[in-house]
Amino acid sequence: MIRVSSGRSVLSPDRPPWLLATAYAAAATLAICWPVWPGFMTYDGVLAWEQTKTGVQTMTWPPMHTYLFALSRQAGAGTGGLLAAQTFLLFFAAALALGLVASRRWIAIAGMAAFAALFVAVPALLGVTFVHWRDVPTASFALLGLALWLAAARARSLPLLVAAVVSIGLAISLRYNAFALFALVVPLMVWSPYLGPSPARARIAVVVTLVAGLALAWGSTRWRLPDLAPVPKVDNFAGTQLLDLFGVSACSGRNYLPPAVAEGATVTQAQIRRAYDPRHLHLTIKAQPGLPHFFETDGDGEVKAAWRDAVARDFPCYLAHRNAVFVEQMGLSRYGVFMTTHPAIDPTSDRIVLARPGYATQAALYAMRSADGYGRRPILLYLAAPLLALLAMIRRPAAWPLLTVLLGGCAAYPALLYVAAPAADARYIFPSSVLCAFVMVASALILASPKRQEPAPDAG
Amino acid sequence: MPAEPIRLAALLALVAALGGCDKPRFSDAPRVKQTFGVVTTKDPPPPPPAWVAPMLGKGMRDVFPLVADCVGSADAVDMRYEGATPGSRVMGWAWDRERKAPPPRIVLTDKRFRIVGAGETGLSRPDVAAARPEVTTPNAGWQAVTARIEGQIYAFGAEESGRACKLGRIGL
Repeated sequence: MIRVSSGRSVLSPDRPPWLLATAYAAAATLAICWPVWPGFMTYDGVLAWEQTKTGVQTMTWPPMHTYLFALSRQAGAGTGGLLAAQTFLLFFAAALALGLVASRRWIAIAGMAAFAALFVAVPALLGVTFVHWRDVPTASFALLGLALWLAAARARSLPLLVAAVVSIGLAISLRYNAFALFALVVPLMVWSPYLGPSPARARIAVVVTLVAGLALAWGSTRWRLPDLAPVPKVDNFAGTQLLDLFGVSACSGRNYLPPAVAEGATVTQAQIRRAYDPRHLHLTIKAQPGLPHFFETDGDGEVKAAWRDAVARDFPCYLAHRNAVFVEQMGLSRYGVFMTTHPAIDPTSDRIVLARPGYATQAALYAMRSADGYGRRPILLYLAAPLLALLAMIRRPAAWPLLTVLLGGCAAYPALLYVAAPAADARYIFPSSVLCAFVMVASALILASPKRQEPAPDAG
Repeated sequence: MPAEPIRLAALLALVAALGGCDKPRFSDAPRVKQTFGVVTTKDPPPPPPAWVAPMLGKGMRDVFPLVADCVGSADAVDMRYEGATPGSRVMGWAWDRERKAPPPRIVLTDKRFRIVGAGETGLSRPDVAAARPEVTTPNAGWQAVTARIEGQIYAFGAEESGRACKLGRIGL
């Protein structure tokens, strides 16, 4: 019989290392944020920042990023305040959670060092943290939710449990697809909130907070703060569908592009094949000699209709195209990792500039140049995490519920992106890559910890 | 009947009516104060400009492959020709941001972006200049004629060099 109630014995009997985690996170924040201060920004980040002045104008991107920027602005910290906060939260959460699974304080410290080292060893992780991409706060809140959950389980604390679920809700409000990270975590949280015998009120608290959190996350994409004015919903999937149309057309030899995409220009099969780049729609439609100008458009609904037709008629080609995007996304391409970082701040109305452009360039160059090494690609995190987790589960069977649900998040997040990713940017898998890095280190800590007798299921 | 409740009801009705006239709160687009009416006639439509004749039926970007940076719109169908030779006249405004002038020509296409009509710019639209500071002429208006009487029409600002930009879409 499977005894989930014993899962709690994987947690350290020591108190959570709050101070140690704070010191560790402060050091990591300084190391990451100082050279690139106040953080690189692409169009998405600039728009989120500008909306702190104009109010939320579009729901194309979830507005939570704007609200976080607004808090940073109100605190007088500019864009850098959010960079520091999201970086601090990420490493604080990792340290707290690692401290809760390590049996000795020195083992926890070694784990924290290993977690930070993975950011250097897999530069796609480091490069993304330099940029104001909302994938970073998504990962920060996701990991914080996990850490608070473990702390709640150890202390049997209802407030910590509620805070954990709120943090998960914040992660999902930043990126809808973040719910995939918690696809298995949430059922375990509901079933066994304290990773062991749990009172009914803890289960009820998880369910109620989760429902409220998801409702607020959904509402945040319908009505803007502070005036609660409705903002029209935007179909975010059209960009993905347009890239899919190029991919399926290039593969099948049938032109599925609606006339609006080239505004009536004659498009040959050879031109589609030349234009198609599975890494990004913008690379596919960029102006090139000898190609017609392609437009990023939903064709007033024609792209969606053509997409349905293309997927139905040429499903093998659809899969081949999505495979090509996935290969680039996971760093499996022989050309390397795509969009490791964005080494600049795109123009903003208040002319934000880098505080230390020389150091920023060096940091960005490190991330971009070293990310392509075969031993340094994100895919390795996804291979090593289940391997180490399996070994840890063999050594400490009590760890299986926790490690299994975390591995579920590692797999479900990129699995969802397999069909939904609008591009192959490394940042899109940042939350699951961070989770994999955490699982790797946590598994290693469990393996390194001396084996101890597991407590009885009803042990508090 | 006492007068006070009647006055109150009238006031509330006025407030409700004015509230209904407000623009949606989620729109910050400048309001163009222009009303449009459709005129029907049994007369034939005017002949299309000579320059468009060899382009009719061709793909828009096959003829105008270069992309210009414009703003503008197709505002309304202001004339319907319902005689033996039917057709429609569309009106709107256009502004080329690079040239800082209205594009000289207007091209109409069907839903498949095949050229089906044309027109000229230079018509008076002081409301556009009043609403958009970047438009520095009161003559950014245009009219264009097509033989189509139904379906969706796209309007483009265009110039002889092959530059063109999409202005908008309108149903006939």
